Amino acid sequence: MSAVLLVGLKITDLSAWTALETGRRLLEPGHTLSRIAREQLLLFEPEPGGKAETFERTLGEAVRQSNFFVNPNKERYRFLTSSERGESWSPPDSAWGILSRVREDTRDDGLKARLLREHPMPGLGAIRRAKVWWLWSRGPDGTPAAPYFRETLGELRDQRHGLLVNPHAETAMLLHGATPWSRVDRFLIQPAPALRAAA
Amino acid sequence: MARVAVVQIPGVNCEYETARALEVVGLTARIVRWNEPASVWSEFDAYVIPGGFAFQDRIRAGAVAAKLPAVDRIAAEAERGKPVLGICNGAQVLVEAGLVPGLHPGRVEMALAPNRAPRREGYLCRWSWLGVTPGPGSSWYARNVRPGQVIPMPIAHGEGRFLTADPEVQERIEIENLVLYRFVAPSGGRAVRYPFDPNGATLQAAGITNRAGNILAFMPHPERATWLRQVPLELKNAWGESRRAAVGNWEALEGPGPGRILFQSLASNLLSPSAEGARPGREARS
Amino acid sequence: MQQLDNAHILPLSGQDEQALAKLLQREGLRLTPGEARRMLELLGRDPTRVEATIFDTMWSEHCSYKSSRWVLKAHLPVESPRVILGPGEDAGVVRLGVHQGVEYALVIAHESHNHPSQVVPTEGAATGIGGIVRDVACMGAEVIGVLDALRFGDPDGPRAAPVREIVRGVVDGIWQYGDALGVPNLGGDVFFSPRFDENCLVNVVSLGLVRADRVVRSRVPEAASREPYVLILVGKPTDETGFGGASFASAVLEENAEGQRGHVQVPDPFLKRVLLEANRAVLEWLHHEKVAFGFKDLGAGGIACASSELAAAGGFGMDVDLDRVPASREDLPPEVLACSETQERFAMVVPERVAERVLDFYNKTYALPEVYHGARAAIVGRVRPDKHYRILKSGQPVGDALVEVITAGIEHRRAERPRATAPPAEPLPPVEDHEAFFTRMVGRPNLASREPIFRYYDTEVQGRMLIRAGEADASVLAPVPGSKLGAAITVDGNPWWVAADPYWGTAHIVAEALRNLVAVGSEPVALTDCLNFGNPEDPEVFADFVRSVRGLGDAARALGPEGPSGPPVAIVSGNVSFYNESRSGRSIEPSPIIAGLGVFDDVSVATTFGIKRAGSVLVLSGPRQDRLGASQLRHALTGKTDGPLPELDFDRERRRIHATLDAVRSGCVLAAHDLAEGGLAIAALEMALGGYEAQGIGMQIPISGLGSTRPESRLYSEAPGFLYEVAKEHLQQFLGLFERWGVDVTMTGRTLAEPRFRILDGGHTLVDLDLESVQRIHADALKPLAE
Repeated sequence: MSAVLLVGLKITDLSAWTALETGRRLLEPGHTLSRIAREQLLLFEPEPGGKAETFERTLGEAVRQSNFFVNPNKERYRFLTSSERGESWSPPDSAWGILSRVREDTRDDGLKARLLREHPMPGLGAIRRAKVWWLWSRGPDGTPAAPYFRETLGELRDQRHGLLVNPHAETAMLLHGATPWSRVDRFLIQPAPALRAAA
Repeated sequence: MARVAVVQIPGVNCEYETARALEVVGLTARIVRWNEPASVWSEFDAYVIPGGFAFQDRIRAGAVAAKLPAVDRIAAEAERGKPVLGICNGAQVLVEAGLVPGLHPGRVEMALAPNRAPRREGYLCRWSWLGVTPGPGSSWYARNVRPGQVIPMPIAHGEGRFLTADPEVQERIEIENLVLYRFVAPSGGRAVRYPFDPNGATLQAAGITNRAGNILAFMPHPERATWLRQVPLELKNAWGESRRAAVGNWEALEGPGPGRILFQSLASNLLSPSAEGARPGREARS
Repeated sequence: MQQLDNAHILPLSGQDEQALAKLLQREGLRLTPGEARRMLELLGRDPTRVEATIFDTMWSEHCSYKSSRWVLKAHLPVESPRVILGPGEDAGVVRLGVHQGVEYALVIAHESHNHPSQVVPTEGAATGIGGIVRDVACMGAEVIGVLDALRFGDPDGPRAAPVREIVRGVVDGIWQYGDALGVPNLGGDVFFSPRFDENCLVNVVSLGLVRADRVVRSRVPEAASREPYVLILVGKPTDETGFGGASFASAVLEENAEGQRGHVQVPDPFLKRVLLEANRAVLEWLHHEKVAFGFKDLGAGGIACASSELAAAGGFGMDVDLDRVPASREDLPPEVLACSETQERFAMVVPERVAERVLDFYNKTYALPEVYHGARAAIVGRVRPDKHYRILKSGQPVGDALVEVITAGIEHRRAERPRATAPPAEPLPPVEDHEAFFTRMVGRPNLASREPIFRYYDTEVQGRMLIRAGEADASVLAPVPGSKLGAAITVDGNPWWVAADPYWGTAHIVAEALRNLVAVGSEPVALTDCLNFGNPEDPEVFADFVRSVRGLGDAARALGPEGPSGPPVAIVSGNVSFYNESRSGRSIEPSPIIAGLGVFDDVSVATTFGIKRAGSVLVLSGPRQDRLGASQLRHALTGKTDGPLPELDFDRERRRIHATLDAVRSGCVLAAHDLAEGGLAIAALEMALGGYEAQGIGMQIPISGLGSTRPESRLYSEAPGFLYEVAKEHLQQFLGLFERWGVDVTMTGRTLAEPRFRILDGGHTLVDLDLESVQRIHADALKPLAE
């Protein structure tokens, strides 16, 4: 089991604000978007055969006290130890999410090397990166209409379709309802699937 | 007279020197704000989206600008055959808007991903070496380039790696010679390692065109190499020699630098179209 | 006059010293009890919270120069025929020259952003760039470059890990801000020393270009006595970020820096770029319409300081209405609205009749509210014909005083106690294996190539650059498109020299700055200084400061073309940063950092330090000395930085500098390089390696008979001097020119067709290395720091 750090801005997130403004212009009548939020996700894996408990306490201190992960002037964070994160990941109230990662290896070895230089923590394996966009949406039928919004605001296809993810560099998964962390972990660890040829 | 719009999207920061580079080759450049009335866009003969950080690269480099109505209008003018050049951030806009490589026009077929080089991430500013592979973009953007000619130009970007996840796109851009400019070694040979391959782009691509050859997404900065004075004295190349020989000679320093060839190519097409024969879209304009 | 509401009043009067100190601390104010009593005396009553915050900011060391002002005034030359505007406003202004009938001027500003960079390196350094750029922009200038002088701790010492994080964070902040802003990086310098382990220095310099007849002043214009004027605030919505920043910059860093991260401002280069574009249009229109106006950036102390200074400088008063200030939240207390240091804001005073037009430029043409959440221009105040300065909230005054009370200033006479004379430095052990030692020197952090750092910086944007950082001793650009007028700029400082001898160390830095300017062929016209020292309440620190300022002033007067009898190289802008010390109270090394500005009538003469061809002659000016105190050599051999500095003879140095200028300008020099840290050996190597790419040209340098007794001294003495590459056909002209200036030179070697770097002493070969292998050591040493 891995530990997770989610970092978002407490000042205005201009990317999310612009995504909202730009995204609204792409919607067909009857569909509304009330909010978009963005978080960076860092996954801290234990070394193979190890447990996150061996490094989580030190890691938690580094998150709180250093500049590696969080600038308290402008960011807020949620640090979830392997036990705190539970079995599954639920979106914020009435939102759903698009989780995206680069198509290449998601490991950030440079960050790990720098972190260990200052905060030795035996047992820490890979640090992986991803990004999550939370959307608060409503279709004509009153439901969040996630499939429609993902089609319109998710993977970029052309000037009218897609915005948040460029599928040539990134790959994405839907976070709708409670998503087992095991699926999220696999999504981050396994090689990105081949790009589905556009219809 | 040929009029070129230099598109000023908020966050762009190379509009003035780009306009000067266009003027020096005899074109008439005007800096046009992204929010000017819809009617202005059709007045121009060519469009340049300059470098910078349009909309702060929010979401992704070029992603927000690609959705602007102004880019829609420029795409429509490109459809009529007018040339569109995106430099650096402008290249990112064109790729995000699906205009390059444009195998299926309008469809996004590539990304400009973060640079990838061993132990060197992030923004990189340095002079690089370019070679030309003749293709559909040659007449608009590489006229007068000799075979084997090596052209030094500076790059300055953090996300300059042309990348496609679609093997078919990869194959077509290669077969159809859409990679007009690529990074090469100073000798002109293949750039196999950093810094000659500065960002890990597919096929060492520095500039990719659409099939018609009138749209070029170009990562280096020709406007920063348009005058000889801009060339580093110690560049190991005939350009460095010319630069050193020009110490003490202002007129020579105000003469052409290596990047001017790209603007000259554009200008010679726009100013004497007869030399190239009829261009699509020309009738529609007149 | 409306009464001040008691709810806003801070009851300070009638308290004893101790109670007052406690009260001030509880309110988060850094005023001393004595200063608080002075404030009560000036106001004649208890202050409101807003007023107390204003005094707290205005009387911070950062804003008030309360310890340093008299020293600076007593010693620094600030006027010369080149100077249009000296210290006093946000930036200095210097004549550049005339192109097509228009006179142009250069604008230069210099500041520190040390404490924020230590605490939150990326934002701290970025805000430093953002702030210095505003200082230049608000003079009406186009910003054409920035430089950064950085002092970091020991990257291999006991605090290596945090030091390396700070290096990386600061470099990130500089490129992330500067590159996005579209302002080229014109260079800077980096110095590593353990005494910066817990207090790094980030000094920033910005250069601007303006038509001499369009220099904008930061004051309400005199025309405000004839028609109504309003105050426009433009930019980012005001928030609580950076509240108390100036006081923070003026205090010692606390044990737990964690709690101080909230004082660091949040910068945004995108918004700055959009604002600069909009400002360009607004200023152009105001000039065209011949409207008198005032313009100022918002920095320390936010709205309150900017508006009161605008008013006071013009001799007017002002009403500022906080209800009209665009804010990020509705519940910000008045003192935060008035004094927070939210970035990316400007203030402008214009006649009421044009205010709507100005607002339209910002809000409609450049559509600020559409491109940045909450950003806009708004009218937030009104100029008063009397000298009353009032801040209103919900129609009630929350501050009300005469402007001269607010801007009265404060002064502290600090005690001085010169440090005890240091015991004589231990003699240096000899170097046994010169080649191995040289190879080690080349890779030392203070001597290795800076390229791994500066490749992150955009040096090319704006297309004006001729010679970049790392190619020559100064960066060179052609500021005015189409004109051969040129500018050169450098920034220098060596904390070890100044620690060893504050007066002469600082004078050496000035000389080095001037050498750097003439080595590229520019005529030195101005200097700026940023004086970074420890706690001024420590008499030894303050004595260092005074001696350093004297050295600066004397050198600036002595090294002008005609010497002390002629005009000085004037000091046109600057900044003092005190309280730089570690948590244990140990001061940083005294660190005056000096920027030099040079100009060219014809910039085409500019040249780099890279050697240009095989078979030319290498010539040295400046004899080598056995005084090796504070040198890189001494540190490498003993770990110490004490000992006597090389001698600096002002008159000889002046002649050497101006002879070099003549030589480069007349084209009889192929390359010129200042001798500084690492002396002749390192300077020669840098010339062989060239700035951009090595040319594969080697060199051979015999060092016998260069004025000192030991080979170590001849190789590594940091005595002032130059090494020149001279083509054989120009040698006679070159020698004649130096003879006319009365400057001795020595032929020291020649350049080779083969890529070898060779140093000979008598019959011995001390160093004989393949250029490519030594290049790799030089180029790669700092890579792990910048990855």
